[in-house]
Amino acid sequence: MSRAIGLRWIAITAGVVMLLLLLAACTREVVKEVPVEKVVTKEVVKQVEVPGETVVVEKEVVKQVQVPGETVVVVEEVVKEVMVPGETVVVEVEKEVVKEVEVPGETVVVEKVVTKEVPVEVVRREQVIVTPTPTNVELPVTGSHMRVAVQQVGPALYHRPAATFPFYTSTIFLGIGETLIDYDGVGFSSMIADSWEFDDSGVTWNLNPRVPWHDANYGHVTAEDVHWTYVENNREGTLVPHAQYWAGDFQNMRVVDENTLRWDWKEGPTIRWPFLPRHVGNGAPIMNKQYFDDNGEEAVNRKTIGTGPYKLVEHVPNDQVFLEGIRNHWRRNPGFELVRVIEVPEQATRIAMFNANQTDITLVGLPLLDQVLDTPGARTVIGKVSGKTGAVVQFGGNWQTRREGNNMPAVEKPWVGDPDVPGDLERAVKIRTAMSYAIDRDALNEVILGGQGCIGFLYGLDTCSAHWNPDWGHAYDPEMARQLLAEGGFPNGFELTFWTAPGPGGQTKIEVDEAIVPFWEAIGLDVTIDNSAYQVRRPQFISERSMTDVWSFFYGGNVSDPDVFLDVIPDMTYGRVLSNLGYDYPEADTFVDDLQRTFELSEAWAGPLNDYFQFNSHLGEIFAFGTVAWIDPWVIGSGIGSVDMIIHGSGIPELESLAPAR
Amino acid sequence: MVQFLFRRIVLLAATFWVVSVLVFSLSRAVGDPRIMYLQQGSTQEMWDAWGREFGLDRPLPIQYLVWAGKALRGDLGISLWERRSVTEAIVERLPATVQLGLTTFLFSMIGLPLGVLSAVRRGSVWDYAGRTFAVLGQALPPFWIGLILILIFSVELEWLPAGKKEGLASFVMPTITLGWLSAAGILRLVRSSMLDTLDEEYIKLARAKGISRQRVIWKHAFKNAFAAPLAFAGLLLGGLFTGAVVTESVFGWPGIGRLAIQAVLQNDFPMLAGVILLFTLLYVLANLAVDVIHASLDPRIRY
Repeated sequence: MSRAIGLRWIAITAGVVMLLLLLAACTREVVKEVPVEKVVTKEVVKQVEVPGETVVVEKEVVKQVQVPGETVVVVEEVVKEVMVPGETVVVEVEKEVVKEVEVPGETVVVEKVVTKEVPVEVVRREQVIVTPTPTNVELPVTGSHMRVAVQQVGPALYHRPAATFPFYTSTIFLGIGETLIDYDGVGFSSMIADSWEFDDSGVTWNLNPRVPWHDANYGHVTAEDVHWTYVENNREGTLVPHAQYWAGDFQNMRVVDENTLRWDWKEGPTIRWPFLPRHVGNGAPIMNKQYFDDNGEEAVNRKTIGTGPYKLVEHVPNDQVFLEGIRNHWRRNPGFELVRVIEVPEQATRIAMFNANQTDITLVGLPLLDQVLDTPGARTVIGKVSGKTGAVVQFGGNWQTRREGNNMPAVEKPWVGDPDVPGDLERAVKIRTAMSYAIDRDALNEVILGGQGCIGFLYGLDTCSAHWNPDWGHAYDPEMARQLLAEGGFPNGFELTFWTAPGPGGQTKIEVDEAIVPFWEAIGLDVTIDNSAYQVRRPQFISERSMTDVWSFFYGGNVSDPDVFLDVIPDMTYGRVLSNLGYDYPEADTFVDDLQRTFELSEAWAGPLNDYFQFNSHLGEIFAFGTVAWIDPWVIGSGIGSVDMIIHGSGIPELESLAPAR
Repeated sequence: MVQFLFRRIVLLAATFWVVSVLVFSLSRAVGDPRIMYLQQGSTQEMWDAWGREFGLDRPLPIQYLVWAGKALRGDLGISLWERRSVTEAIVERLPATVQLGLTTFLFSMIGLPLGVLSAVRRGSVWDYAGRTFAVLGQALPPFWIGLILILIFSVELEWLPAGKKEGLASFVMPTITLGWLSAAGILRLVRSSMLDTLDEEYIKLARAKGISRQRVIWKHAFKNAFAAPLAFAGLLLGGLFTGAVVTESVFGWPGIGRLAIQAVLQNDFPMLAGVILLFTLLYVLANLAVDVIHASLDPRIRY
């Protein structure tokens, strides 16, 4: 019995010790109350000044509490205010404070302050290290390899008409496929097409006759390959977005000779012409007809050949992709000899892999950036051509095309106007405008995005864009919001369901959406958040047009290319088969027609797009408004040197833009 | 036994049928898969072409019958998302899941000796240590365990790979993550079962007869206490093959669990149906195996 009791006490003691150890592990402070006789405080203050805007302050305080006898308690406290990379100039000051404190009975208090300058310790943060690839190094660097961690590599779907969203972009981002022309966000330049000439009746493409396929057995790209690629992209059942534009905008597409193609306009020039030819994610990489005929679609899906700087070695579906750099590539030598793209679904795991140097590059959400930037050599990259993710508030139920005789039922929501009731459309605009005025966008940007996002007031454009017009924005004004609510017939607010459309946009978007709600509640709205999955709600966007809630769309924070608005604006038209956003208005058709007839990108911004933004701003109908928009950057480790990223994919980085460090 | 086996196989077939109907119905509850797959700018022609290609333009009962008929012949259809044979995708992913399941099962077996030790040394440090191990294993969520292991062994110590199946080292963290809960369950079950058995009269008699302590514990007590843990372990094995979804996601493990998640997210109903049928098969077979072993080990059981 006594043995059992003894064991029990040992166990209890062990448990207490474990708890104490656990406690000790959770905090760096070990505090023990003791009768104090002498306190020595040593304070080391390091000031690290970086020229320009960067100031780093690091403060370390070490307190030693000494009591006569054996008891010594050490309390450590480290306070760090971290910095931005740059060249460092360090000033270090050591300040020593010795206090002798009173012991009951013996009232002697001595306080001594010693301040002295000590030898400077140069503090350098590893992230300032950038090792650009020397220009005289032959690429790909022999023996170099790059590891890329992404959320999804997806299935092996390389035959483009069969590739599902978003994997139809993989061929471009992986550097396997090339298109007719290159694009840098501003203008076009040669790629497979050496030159192209527009005339009144169409376009003539002159191909580079020396573009080899990855498999030497198939020779060089011919006009026949290009023509077949476009025809195949338009075959029945194709999943290629915008493929139908080619067949819709051109006629008499034909092969003139081995290196020349001719496409005639069907109804004159259109801004849509570069949709498939240009080198961005949704462009159409040229495919080899003979390779397809020899191997069949299933085999081509698993392993394709292209003309780009990287050659596909193997794609293990939903797991990893192996690529090999092409030596002496006809256009651009790739940086790495081997690339391995691995699928790691969890962002936390990808971040851990980056910090453990198990991957060279990965995409990190803005709110989590601080978890990786302390890693040696870490830096962020954003491509020049990129659409921002955003939280764009949409007002479902606004079926304005009812004016034109469509038999849509009336929707009774405060933000929906009834065209049959005089003045009601204008009343509803006030409600929608009030909800925009109620939101403090700067606070959203600062608190959730760390100030690294952009403010938005529109669907498709934000204040960081060169095309932004300040008139389209407004101040945060809850008083104005309340006044507009009252004028709109709801002085005490109303109930609404706010669907956050989770999924695309990630956790950041959900955080932004949930942060919007208190602003609306502050002006008297009773908001219920609906976080149900996108798939659950998507049927409401299809033909029946039953989306009548207020909701938040991830897309359209900022659209970088004017022609892409040919996707955005038709979402608000009655004729859309899929992806109706929950509202439509007859003016949208005019915007689409005008934009489609524009040929120059710059004219599109100044003309039809300007009209569209004006119409959908708080100065117009405001069927949708932006809040904040952001781009999650690629984080690059010390293994990567030069970076020249043009297109910013959120799935796979543009591999051909990356080269190894020195 | 033959009659028992026959009844179980009939039951297995019925379970399969019910599961197949449920899976098919639920996968369509969110709507036509074309809604997921056809993108902005799709035309009515695209919609119709997809309907013809995948039989989506036919009434649902007909679609089910066509799908079920093919499934019976081993053809689980074509994945909408991957555009390839579902059977091929499953066969490709199955080895990774089975390997992880087996290593996890082996790891879980540490619950057996720990459970025995905990029961035999009841109230001792060993008992408390074992019970702490069990409580933590059952209380801590696997995704959290996985991330903490990654932080310690991958980021801090740089001993183990974090997000890839690559060599034996890559099995360590997923195995512990997935197996701790199972080991905890086995430990608790063995402990309570052993405690009951050790109080039985025949154990006291065996001790009174002077049989050695080890022999009493392992031959007389453990053998009789093993029935409940055995049943649990059998179901556990089925569960490990089917329940590794979270662990596979955390560690980027290319197994069936991730395939299932992707199928759900993409509304890829042929893939989802195929994976769930496989899960059902594994689970039902594990059940069947446990029942048969149970019956053969315990002569008191009659079917």
